[in-house]
Amino acid sequence: MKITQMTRDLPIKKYIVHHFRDDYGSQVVDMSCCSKKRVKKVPKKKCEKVIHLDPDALRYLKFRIGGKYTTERHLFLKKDPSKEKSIIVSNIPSFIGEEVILAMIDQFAPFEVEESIVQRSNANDNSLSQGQLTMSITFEKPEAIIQVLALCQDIGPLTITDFLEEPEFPSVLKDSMSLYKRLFPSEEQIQEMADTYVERYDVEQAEARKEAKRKYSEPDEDGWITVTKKKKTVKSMKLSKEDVPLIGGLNGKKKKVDLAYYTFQIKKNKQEKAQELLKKFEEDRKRIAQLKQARNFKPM
Amino acid sequence: METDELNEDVLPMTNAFKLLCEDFTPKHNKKEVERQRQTARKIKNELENAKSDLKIEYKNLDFWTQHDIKHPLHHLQKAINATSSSVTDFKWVKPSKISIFDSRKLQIFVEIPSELFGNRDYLNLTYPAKRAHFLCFAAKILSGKFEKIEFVAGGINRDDPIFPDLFVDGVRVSFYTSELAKTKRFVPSIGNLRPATVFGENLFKGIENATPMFNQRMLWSLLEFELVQELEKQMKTHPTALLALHLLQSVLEHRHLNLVFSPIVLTARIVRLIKNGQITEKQEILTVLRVIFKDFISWSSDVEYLDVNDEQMEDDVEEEYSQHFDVNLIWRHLNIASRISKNQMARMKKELATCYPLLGQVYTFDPIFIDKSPVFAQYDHVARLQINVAQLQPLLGEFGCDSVDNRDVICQFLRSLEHRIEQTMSERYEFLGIHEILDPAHATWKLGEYASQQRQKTFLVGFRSTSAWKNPLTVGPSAQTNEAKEFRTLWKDTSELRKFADTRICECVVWNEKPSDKVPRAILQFVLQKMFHLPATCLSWRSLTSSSNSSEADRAHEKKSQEAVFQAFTDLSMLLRGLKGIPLMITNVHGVSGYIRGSEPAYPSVFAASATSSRDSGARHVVPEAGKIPLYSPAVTVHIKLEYSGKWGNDVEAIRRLTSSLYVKIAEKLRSEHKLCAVPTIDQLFVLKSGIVFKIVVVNDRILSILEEDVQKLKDSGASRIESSIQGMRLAMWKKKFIAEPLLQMSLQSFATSHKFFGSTVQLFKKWLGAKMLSGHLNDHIIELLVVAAISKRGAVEPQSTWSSFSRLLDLIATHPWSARPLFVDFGLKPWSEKERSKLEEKFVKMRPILPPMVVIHEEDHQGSKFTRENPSGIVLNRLVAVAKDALKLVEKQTIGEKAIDLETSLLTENLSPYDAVIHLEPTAVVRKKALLERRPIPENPKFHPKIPVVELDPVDELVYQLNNNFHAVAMFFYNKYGGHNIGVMFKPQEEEVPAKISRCSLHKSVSDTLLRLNRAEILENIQIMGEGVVADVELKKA
Repeated sequence: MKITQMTRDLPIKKYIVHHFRDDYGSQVVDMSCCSKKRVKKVPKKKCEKVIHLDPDALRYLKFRIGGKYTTERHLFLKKDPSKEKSIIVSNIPSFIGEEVILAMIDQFAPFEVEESIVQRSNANDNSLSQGQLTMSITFEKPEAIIQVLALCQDIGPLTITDFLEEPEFPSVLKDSMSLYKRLFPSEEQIQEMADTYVERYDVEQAEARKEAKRKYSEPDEDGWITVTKKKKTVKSMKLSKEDVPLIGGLNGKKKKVDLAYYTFQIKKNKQEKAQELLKKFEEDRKRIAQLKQARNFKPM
Repeated sequence: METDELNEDVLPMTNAFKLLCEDFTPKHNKKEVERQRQTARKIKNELENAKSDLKIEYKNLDFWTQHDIKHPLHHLQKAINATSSSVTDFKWVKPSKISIFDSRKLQIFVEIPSELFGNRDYLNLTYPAKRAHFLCFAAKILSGKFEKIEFVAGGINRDDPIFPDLFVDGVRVSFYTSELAKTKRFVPSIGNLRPATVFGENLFKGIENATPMFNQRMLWSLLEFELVQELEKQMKTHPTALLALHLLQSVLEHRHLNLVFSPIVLTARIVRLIKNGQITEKQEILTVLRVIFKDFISWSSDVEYLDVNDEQMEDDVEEEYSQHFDVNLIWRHLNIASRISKNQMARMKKELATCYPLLGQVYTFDPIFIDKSPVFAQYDHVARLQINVAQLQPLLGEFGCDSVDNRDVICQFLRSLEHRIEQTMSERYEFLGIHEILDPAHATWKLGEYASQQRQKTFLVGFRSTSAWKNPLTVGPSAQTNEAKEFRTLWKDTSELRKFADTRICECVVWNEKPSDKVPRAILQFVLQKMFHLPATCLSWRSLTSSSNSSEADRAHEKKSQEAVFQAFTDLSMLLRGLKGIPLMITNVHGVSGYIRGSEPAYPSVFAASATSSRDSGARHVVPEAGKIPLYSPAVTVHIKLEYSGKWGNDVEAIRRLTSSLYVKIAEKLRSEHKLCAVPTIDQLFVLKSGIVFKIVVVNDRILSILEEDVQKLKDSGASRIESSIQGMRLAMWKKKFIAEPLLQMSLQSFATSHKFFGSTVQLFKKWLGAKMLSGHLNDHIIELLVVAAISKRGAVEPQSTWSSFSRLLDLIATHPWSARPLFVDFGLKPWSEKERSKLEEKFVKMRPILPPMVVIHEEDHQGSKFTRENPSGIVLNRLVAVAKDALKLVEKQTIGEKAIDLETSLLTENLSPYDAVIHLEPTAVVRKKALLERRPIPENPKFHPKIPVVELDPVDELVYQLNNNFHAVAMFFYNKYGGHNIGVMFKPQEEEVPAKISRCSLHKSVSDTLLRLNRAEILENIQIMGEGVVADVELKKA
């Protein structure tokens, strides 16, 4: 129940967060703390510039968090080669939130943003609430892109807290404490959750059974009835006397069956045996060589 | 030890083993051999043609100083003055015979002409003095003609400076005379060295006594040549025996037994087997090895002869030998094994008996014949003994007999000490070993110098303890008997009478109230102070933990909490099994936690913190409040299984919901019938029993079959890469968590029960890893498996204490070739067969490129990567190896260093200097530190309802997890789980500067159009933001 410990035990969490809520005594909860932030309106800045720019260049936008956090950071912007009207924005700290980024872009972008989507995070568990995010922003017009890219480097540094009404960021401590609390629903809730689910499950099962039955008895749209073969019952196997020694060896003696009949067969068998021995010897030699090599191995 | 005890179920010889052995044949450098031969011929030539008209009185030892040579017996001038001889003059006479002995090691034997000796020169130091004169003559003749001439200690163990040899350009030149006296003259009961001549008349006026050791030294000098010839004659015709000898030598050398079991003793013993017909020319190497091992293991304490057909000695002479020596292997009155003590025999037998059943296996060849472990790891308890001759002065009367110089006096003392220890505490140890701590160049000295006088010597005393090691009593014989009287005198009247439960009344020495490590220490001090009148300071124990009261209290506390957990778990499991009135009965209760076997440090305590929550007083559990982080409370995980039911359905989620309602039912029952505090959640049930929180989880095999069906469906539909599909991973996860891990835990549990010190070793290992800031880089299971591997290593005698097992653990980590071989852990019970093992090894070689850096194969994981897939990374493993090496050096320093250190504290010192940045944590967020007040179980009181406290919540753990999650691409984090106040940060050097690409821009900033630089300040700021409340400060150490 160790909140992150258990996720640490589950490298597959990233694939199954939503549809696999735990087979194993621990609750996998997606820490979605990237909650909607309330964004302040900040008046637009006016920028104009004569543009001559390589459209594929990696551009950046300076910003800082604000308050006691004053380090200069760079957002990176680039034209999305696959979409005409989009840019990719990367190196977004996940705790800032999508809206703030849009508000920042809006500061100097000459056109409206049509659509924006958070594409991925560089966090190990791919959670969009952790790590540095990458976003795709689509503008109404393709001309916007070249202008945004041209202008972004001259702006700023912008300050994040200017855009936020309540500058507060999620922290590990807060997250884990709230998660801890959520792990203890009341007994009634547990019971209720179990009951509702099982009820629904029972109904679904009953329906599925009905459906299957219907398939056997009623013809479908094309007029077919599914017919299946009955399973054959497996007869118990009886061992014949000859088989017994092969399995356990009751009397301990093996019957020697000499398959070789002609002399050339005998000769061949002998040769094969010798070959086999030789092969085994070679294998042994290889093995020993490996052991010896490992012995001389110095890790540091 | 008898050979009957040995396992006779032995392997047949294989080609692979033969190859391994043959590979071991020492390779001679042909050039070097040829050079030595030339040197030898030159020496022989020089000595034969030398002429010198120097003539001296043999008592004049000073003479050689004018020739820049120091007579080796120079410091014994007084003793030599007291000798007499019928031939007083000494001059150079051409040696009567010079033989070049060209066998494995080239050696020259020079026979000193008998005309130089008088007829009673075997008495006192006349012969050694004259022999040394001859050596000086030879040295003078040879000097200037060879590059390097040195004196070298002679004797059977090559450590006797009274009978030195010459070392000329790497060739040993020995001197002997054959006609000094009959060998019978040197039987043990005859005194050939009057102590008065050596130590003056004051002490030993008129005393004549037997000098068995001196006699043997004389005999060796006289017989060396003949014996070596005799042995070589036999060995030459038996090349397999020769190979076996090399192998045996190597075994003993790596176990630090080579100094007593010198090559001559080993060769003699093997030659004896050849003469007996037990070793023949046609035998395979494996057979020969087995014969030899068996012979050594069954080496009896009776008088034995090198040559069985030889004329045997009379019974009374035999009796004398067995009285004076622990081990007797006689050849013409020379006892080849005279220097071997009982304890060394016991240790050798134990070691060889451990190796014997493994002979013939390819994969145990290395541990038996090649792996070397440090001497301090061979013993469970070690002490450093420093003896100065001055301290022994009062005892000279006892140890001066049969002694020539200080070295002998100390040797005699040691022998007596060993005997006394045996008398006083033999029930506490299996064997003890005394190893001299030598400087490497002790055996040779330059012509112009004296052999070191060795007034002071330092020894390592090691014990292999038995279960009675800490016994608080030394129980003696029944009262009123003669033995009781002896016992009283032995213990200087400190013993008292005690009545035991079986109405026996015995003499007893009472050392302590309870069993303690202090008892054997006190006994040894008693022996040294009261029996030998030595100062207390001459012996200092070297241990992991300091013997202070606080650390002992700590250990007691740990032990107590472990017992409490175990007891509470046993009670709970009884209670659960007997629980009635729940829909399905509980059939199986299985504890899967390190706390139960004591392998988890109880930091701050295993007992739950008492829960005092003012809010919502109705709840049975406590939730964390904002701004207040409670100290850590662990929960002990318990898996339970229910009786079979067919009604679970086919849906994992449905089973989960049903199980959660079952938790509610069980909780109700536990509360109503057993008055326990029980809180169900969706996926587990928390129960507070005897002050300990248990986390109960139902394991349902139905889930396994559902998951398996899913995978099967996927397979049937033609999917190829099952392992990376969701279904495949879910199945693998479930299997790991609910099958592999519990089974492994079970093995660990039983291992911990049979090895009492296992828990404490694991705890120390965990704390040590923490102090090296490596917590979290090794899986907990791997930590325990490594300890098991170190303890149950094949071919080594199992350790019996935390000291030895921890030393071996460090040795294992530091020396295992991690990238070239997997580590096998078999719990010492069911080893893999050769075939299985070679298959696994083969698979390892094939899969090496895709396997993780550390591969640990055990019963539940044949690939060896289940618990090491993600951690440790190669770089961390390298660091682990390096810190283990450092720690080994520290342990070595502790064993042989002049002053005892508090090893545990030194081992557990944190070092923050290597890190690029350091995160300082809020002291309140460090919840695993040692509590100031020891927690106690909450008293069971019907009026007072305890609550489940906040369990398993460690903000530092959470933070480190998120740090890794967020910054894995650019940095690594190192922390100490057990109360560390800092987290070390290392930035990945390859991320320092990267090309300007959108895919690599995270946490960088732009410096030019083509280059991005790591924005360290940004990273540290992010850490501060996400660590609010846990992180106090972030410090960038290197720009």
